[in-house]
Amino acid sequence: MVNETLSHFHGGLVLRHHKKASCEQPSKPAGLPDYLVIALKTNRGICPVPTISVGESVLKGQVIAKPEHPMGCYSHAPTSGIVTALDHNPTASQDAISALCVTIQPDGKDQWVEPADQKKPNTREQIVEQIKQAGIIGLGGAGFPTHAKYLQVPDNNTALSRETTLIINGAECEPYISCDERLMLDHPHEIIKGTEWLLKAADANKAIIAIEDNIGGVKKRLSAEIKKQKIPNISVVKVPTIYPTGGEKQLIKVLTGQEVTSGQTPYSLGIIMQNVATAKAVYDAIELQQPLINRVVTVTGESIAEPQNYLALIGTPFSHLLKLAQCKDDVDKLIIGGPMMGYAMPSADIGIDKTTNCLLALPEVCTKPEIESMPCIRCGDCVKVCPQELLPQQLLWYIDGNEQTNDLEKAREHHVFDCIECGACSWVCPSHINLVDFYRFAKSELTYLDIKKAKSELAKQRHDDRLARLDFIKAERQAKRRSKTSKLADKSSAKAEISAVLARIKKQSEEKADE
Amino acid sequence: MNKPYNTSSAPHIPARINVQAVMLWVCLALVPATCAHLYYFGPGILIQMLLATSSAYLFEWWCLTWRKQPIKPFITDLSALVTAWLFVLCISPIAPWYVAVVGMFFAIVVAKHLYGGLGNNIFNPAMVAFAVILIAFPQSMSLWLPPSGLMDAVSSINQHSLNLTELFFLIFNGSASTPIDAVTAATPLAAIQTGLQQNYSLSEVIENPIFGNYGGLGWEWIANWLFIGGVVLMYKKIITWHIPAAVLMTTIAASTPFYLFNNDVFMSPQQHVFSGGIMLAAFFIATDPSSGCSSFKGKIIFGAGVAILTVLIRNFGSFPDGVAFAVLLMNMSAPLIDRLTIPNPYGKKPKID
Amino acid sequence: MLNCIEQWGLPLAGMVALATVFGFLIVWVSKKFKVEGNPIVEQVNAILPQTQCGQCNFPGCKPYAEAIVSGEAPINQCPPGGQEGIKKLAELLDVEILELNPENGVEEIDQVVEIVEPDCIGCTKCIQVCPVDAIVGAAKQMHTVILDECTGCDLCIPACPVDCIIKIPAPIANQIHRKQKPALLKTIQEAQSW
Repeated sequence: MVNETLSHFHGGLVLRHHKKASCEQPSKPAGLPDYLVIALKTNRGICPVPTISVGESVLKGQVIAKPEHPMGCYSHAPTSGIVTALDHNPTASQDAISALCVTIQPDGKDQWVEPADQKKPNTREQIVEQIKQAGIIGLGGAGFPTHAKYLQVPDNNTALSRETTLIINGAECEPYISCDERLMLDHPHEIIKGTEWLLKAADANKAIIAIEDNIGGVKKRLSAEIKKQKIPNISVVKVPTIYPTGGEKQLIKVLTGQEVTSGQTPYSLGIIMQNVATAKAVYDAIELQQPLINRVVTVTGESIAEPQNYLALIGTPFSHLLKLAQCKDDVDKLIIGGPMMGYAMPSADIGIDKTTNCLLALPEVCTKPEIESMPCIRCGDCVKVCPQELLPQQLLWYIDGNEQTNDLEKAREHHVFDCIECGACSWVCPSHINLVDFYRFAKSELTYLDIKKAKSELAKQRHDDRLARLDFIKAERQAKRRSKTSKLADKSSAKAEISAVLARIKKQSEEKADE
Repeated sequence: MNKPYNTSSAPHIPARINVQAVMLWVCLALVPATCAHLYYFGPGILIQMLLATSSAYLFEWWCLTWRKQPIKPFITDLSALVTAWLFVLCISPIAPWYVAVVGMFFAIVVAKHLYGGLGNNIFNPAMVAFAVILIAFPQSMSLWLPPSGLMDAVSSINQHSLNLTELFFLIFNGSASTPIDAVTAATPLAAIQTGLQQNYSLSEVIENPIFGNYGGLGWEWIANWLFIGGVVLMYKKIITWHIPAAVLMTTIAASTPFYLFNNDVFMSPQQHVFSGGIMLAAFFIATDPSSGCSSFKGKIIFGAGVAILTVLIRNFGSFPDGVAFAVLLMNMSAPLIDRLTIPNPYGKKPKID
Repeated sequence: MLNCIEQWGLPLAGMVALATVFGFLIVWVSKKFKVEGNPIVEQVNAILPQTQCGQCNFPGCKPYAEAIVSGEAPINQCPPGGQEGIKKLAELLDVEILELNPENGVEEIDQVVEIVEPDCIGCTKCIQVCPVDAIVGAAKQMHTVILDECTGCDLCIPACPVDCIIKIPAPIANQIHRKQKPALLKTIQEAQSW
C-alpha cells in the first residue's frame, strides 16, 4: 500500500514556518477561566441536543449534549460548575457563525463526575462506541466525527484480507502552529497507545505516523517509544515540508502515490487518517476513561509576548489564553487556525472548540497588504501552486467575470467543489485577489441553487400530482352525473327514478309529521 | 479590547509578490537585450523608448479617466511600460515619431482598454501595435540601421553612423543630412526575402555582411541577451518553462524539414531562432499571461502554434517576419485551447488500467 | 441545343441528385430527431420557480410558461423568480431583460409559511388552496405545514378565516450558510485613497 519512496503532490508552497517560538517549552495548563462557552455544533457535524438546562449544576465530564444524528457527537462539561446560559453565540468557526452554545460558570472545585466504570473494550464495536461516547472528533481541523470513520470498516474486514492502513497525521503544515509537534514531544507514549487502539478499531495492518522533516527530535522520540512498547507495525515517516502536505488528500498522495477519487473517502483506498491529537484523545478515552474536554492550543503571533502551547479546556474564551500569553494591545487580526486557512475572529470572547488548534494574534504590520487587490492578469501562478490541480484563475473568471462569462455552472465544470480552500492561490496571487473567498462563495451559492432546484422540482411534481388528482375527482363526479342523466333519458327507468324520489320525499315528510 | 478585530479572510500574511514587481522583473529582464540593441544599433532606441513610454502613459491615463477607473493603482502597475518596451524592441530605431505614437494608441487604447483594461485583453497589446505598424507603415519597418562594427569589418557598405542630433532629425523631421539610403540597411529577414525574390540562393544572400555567425549580425547577440533575461524570469518564477521551450523547440523542429528539403530557399533552424522576433516572442510575448493559455498543456500547444505559424509565414508569407501575426492568431485560439485542455484535478484522473 | 445539353446536362443532373439526396436527408433527420411536445414551454417552465403562486395572473407556472411562449405575457411577471429568473428567461428567449413588474408583487427570498397551531380552527380552507399539497390536517383537526414542501406562494394566507398563517424564513438557511459575493476591486474612492 505505502510506497517506500515518497511521492509528491502538484504545486504547493514553501513557507517560513514561524514555529520555533511557541514550541520551545512543554505545553502548560491554561487553568480555569472565568467562564466557558462551549459550542455544541462542531464544524460540519450535526448539532446535538442539549441534555442540561440553565441553572443546573454540572460535574466535570458530565454529558451536556447528546447526538440524535449519526454524524453528531457528544459534548461534555469541561469542568464542574453551573450552566448560566444556553443560547446562540458566535463560535470559533468560519465567519464566527452564531450557533447554540452552553455557557458554564466554573465553581472552582473541578470535580469529576462518577466514572461509569467501563471495562477496557475487546471488540471493534466496543472501541468505536467508547470513542463515540467520549465525544471525539477529528482534532486536525475538519472535525469529522471520529467514530463515523470506523463505521465504514466492514465486519469481516480481515476475512476479506483487505489491507487497511492507518495514517496518523502529525504534519501540521501551516506556519505558526506547533500544537501537534509539542504533543508528540510531550506525550509520545499516549499517542502510540492511542494509535494501537485505533489500529484495532480500523482492523488495519499497519500505522504510519507522518511528520514533517523540519521538526527535529520528534521522530527519535516516537521511534524510541514504539521500540519500548514493541509494536512493530507502527512506523514514523518524515514527509517534505511543503504546504499543504498536512491536507488529507495531499498526505495520502505523498505517502502512497495514489489519489482519493473525488467525492469518495480515503477508505476507498483502504486508508483511514487521524490526527495525532485524535490518537491522544482516544488514549484518554479508553485508558483513562476521560472524555474529550481539553486540547492543546498554540497561542502565538507577532502580538504575543510569550508564544506558548496551552492545554486548554474546551470552551475557554480566547481572551483568557491571550492574557496568559501576554498579548500586546496592537492586535489587528485574531485568527483561529493558521495564517493560510484560519478564520479571523471578530472578538476575543468566543470560546475555543475541539478543532481550534491555534490562536494567532497578528499586529497590523504583519497583515496589511502592501497594495490592494488588482484585476487578475492571468499570470498562472495559482495554477502552478494549486495542490488540487485546478485552474484557479479560470474559476475566478467564471465566478466574477463580466456579464458574458459570469457563470457559476462553468465553475462547477471546472471542478470548484474539489477546491480544498488551502489558500495557496490567494497567497501567490500578484494581484492580491482573495481567490478562496470566491470559491467559498461559489460553493455556497451552487449548493443553494441546487437546494432551490430540487425544491422547485419537488413543487412541480407535487403540483402536477395535485392537478391530476383534481382532474380525477372532477372526472369521477362527471361520470356519476352522466350516469344519472343517462338513466333519465330512458322513459321507463326515468319513471322508476321519479317514483323512487317521490317515495323518499313522502317518507321524509311522514317522519317529520311523526315528530 | 476596544476596537473590533479585522475579520478579512485568509491568507493573513502578506502575499509573495505583486503585479508591480512582476512587471518590474519583466523590465529588468529586458535591460541586457536593450543594452545590446543600444550597442549595435545606436541610441535610436532610447528616443523611441522615450516616445513610446510617454505616449503609452498618456493614453493609459486618458483611458483610465475616460473609463472612470482608479488612476493610481493602474498607472503605477508598470504594465504600460512593459508594453511600450516590447514594442520598441520590435520597431526600427529610426522609425518616424508617429510610428511609436500610433503603435501605442493601438496597444493601449484599442488592444488593452477597449477590451476591459489590465488582464482582460485577449490580444497582446505590443503585438497588436506592431502588426498595425507592419501593415500601415511598411516602409518604416524596412529601414533599419546596419549593426555597428560593420563599418570596420566591411568597407563595401557605405556606412555612416548617426549621431544623436541626426537621429532626432530623422525621427521627427523625416530627413537627415545624409541620404537615408546611405545610413540604412535591411533587416536580415527582409534581406533574405528580397534576395530570394530576386532569385538569389540563400547561401548567396547570407554572404551579405549584415549576417553574423548564426543569425543576423548584432541580432544574434540581442537574441542571446533576451534568452538570458528570459532565464532570469524563469528563475524568478515569473514565467514557466513551457512556452519558451515549446516555441524554441518547435521552431527548430518545424524549420528543419524545410531546410533539409531545400537549403537554397529555406533558412536554417539556427537562423530562424536567432533572427527576427522569435526569441522575444518565446520569452516575453507568448508568455504574456492575459492573452495566452493557462494550463500547462495549453501553454505548450500555444507556444508550438506560435512557432509553426512563424516558420510558415517566414517561409511562404509575404512578410519577412511573422511573429506578430503568429502571436495574434494564437491569441485568438487561446480560449479554445484552454477549453480543450482543462486539466484533470486531483482525484479525477482517468483510470489507467 | 445538343451542345447546350452536353454543357449543362451533367451539372444539372448532379444538382438534382444532390437536391434529392439532401431532401431525403432532411426528412429523415426531422423524423429521427423529432421532439415531442413543445420543448420551449418546458424550458420556460423549468426556469420558473414552480411556486404556483399565481402572482403572474395565471393559474400556475405552466400556464404562465405557455403564455410567455405564445407571446401573451411579458417575462417580468414572476416575483418569486426575481430578476435572476427574468434574466434567464430573456437569455433563453433572446428578448430584452425587463424590470420585474411591481404590479405582480415584489421578490422575497426564501419564505415559507407556518400555521400558528393554537389558533387553527381546522377549517381545511388552506388545504384546499395549497397548490402543492404541503398542508396536512383534517376537518376540525389542527393543520400543519410541511416546511420542506411549502413553496411560499402565500395562497393560504388570504384563505385562512382566522389569520393564523404567518410567514417565516425557509429552512434552507439551516442547510447552507449562504455567502456574500466578494468584491474583486474595491470602490474607486477607496482604491484612490491609498
